[in-house]
Amino acid sequence: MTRDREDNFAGDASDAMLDELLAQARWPEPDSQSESRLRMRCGMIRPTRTPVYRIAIAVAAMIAIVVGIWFVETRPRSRIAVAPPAPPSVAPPVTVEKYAPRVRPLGPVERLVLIEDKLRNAQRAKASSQTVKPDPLAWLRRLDNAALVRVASATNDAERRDNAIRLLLERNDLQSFLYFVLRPNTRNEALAVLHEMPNPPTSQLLAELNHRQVDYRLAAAKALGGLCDQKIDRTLLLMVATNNHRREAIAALLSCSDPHAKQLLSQAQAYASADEIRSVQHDLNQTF
Amino acid sequence: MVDRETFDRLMLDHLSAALRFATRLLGDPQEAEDLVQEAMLRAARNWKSFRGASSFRTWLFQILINAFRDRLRGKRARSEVMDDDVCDVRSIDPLIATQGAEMAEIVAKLVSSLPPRQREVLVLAVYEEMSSSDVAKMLGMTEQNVRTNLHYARQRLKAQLGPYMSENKR
Repeated sequence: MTRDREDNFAGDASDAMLDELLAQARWPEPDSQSESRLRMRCGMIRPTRTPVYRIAIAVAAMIAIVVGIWFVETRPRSRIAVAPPAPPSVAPPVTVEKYAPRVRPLGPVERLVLIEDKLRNAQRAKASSQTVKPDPLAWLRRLDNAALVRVASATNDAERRDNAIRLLLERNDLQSFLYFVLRPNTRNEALAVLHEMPNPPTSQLLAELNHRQVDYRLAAAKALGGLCDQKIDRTLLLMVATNNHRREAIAALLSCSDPHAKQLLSQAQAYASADEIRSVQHDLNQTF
Repeated sequence: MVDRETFDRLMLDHLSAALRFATRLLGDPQEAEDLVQEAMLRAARNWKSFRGASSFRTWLFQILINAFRDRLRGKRARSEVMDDDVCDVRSIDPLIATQGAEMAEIVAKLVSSLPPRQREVLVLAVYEEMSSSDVAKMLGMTEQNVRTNLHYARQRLKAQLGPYMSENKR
């Protein structure tokens, strides 16, 4: 038997013995009243989630305000009753003959001008009714980020979900956005919304590569991979080269379908081993 | 009102597990009680952030671990405890260990004196029976890192319990 094999057997034996000892470990029992004290304190703590009755009160107050405004705006203006002034003791007014312009019938040219005016006004009215469209995001804009997350999680309407995620991105709530990237049923939509944004929050996503949770870091890498342009790719390569969140930068390059990124990934192999790249790919496959 | 009831119910259901977990991390039931109380307050404060994506137990344990880390950080700042605050058990005579103090208690004490990160990983993996991927998610580290920490924790325990283990072998 070689020395290595002896060591292996010794290692197995000591592992088994350690497992046995660990299984036997016994910690001091907590005080008998310890748990009941905690239960009592638990009853005294109040969670800070907004209770339903507060929401109901807020809704009722809003309805009352709206009804009040409507009532004030639409009620008939009451006329103030003023006592008629005493008739003046002056001579009756001189009757003046009322001015009445002489009206002649319209000529053909004047009729044409009037018809053209009417047509133009009708066109303007039609055009203005077409351009003023209701903003589909108006009611979503009134919600806070937590409410937007709840709407996007609960709704079956894909457009509404997209709008909610878009608003979260516009408000730079990357944490919530990455939450939707991590959820398999919303991932593609969230990434598509990010892709459609005119100014995607690239620098914030790069910052999220430093998130304290590994799956959020990988989600940020995935999102960056979806954006991949040459500028981002170069930044990612620099991160690999300077060992600054190297794994996440490799993950972003791996998630990118841009041919330029593939080229940079082959360059990245100068700084990262093939094993490391494979390991990152494995992490990506496990998470997504 | 429903929220409050849900919170109370979930918290009471998981209170014993949380207390047991905290005791294993700290090695002292009184400190564990304080830690669980702190975690309860934090959980109530952050109840809004619980989205149900993970189980309540995982969420509560994450809060407990954060509170545990803050507590250690505070202690370190007051320089009461060193990072590697490990009692030297190589001096424990196996006979004394078996006769005098209970071996089971010594092992527990050693586990609770491991360096914090190794302790978290070992307690979650061995006593909470979590897989390395679950431990990695809970502690915000990679699976490789979890396995490395677990390996070092076991090596350290083997070294410290070496005399007893060799005595047993004989």
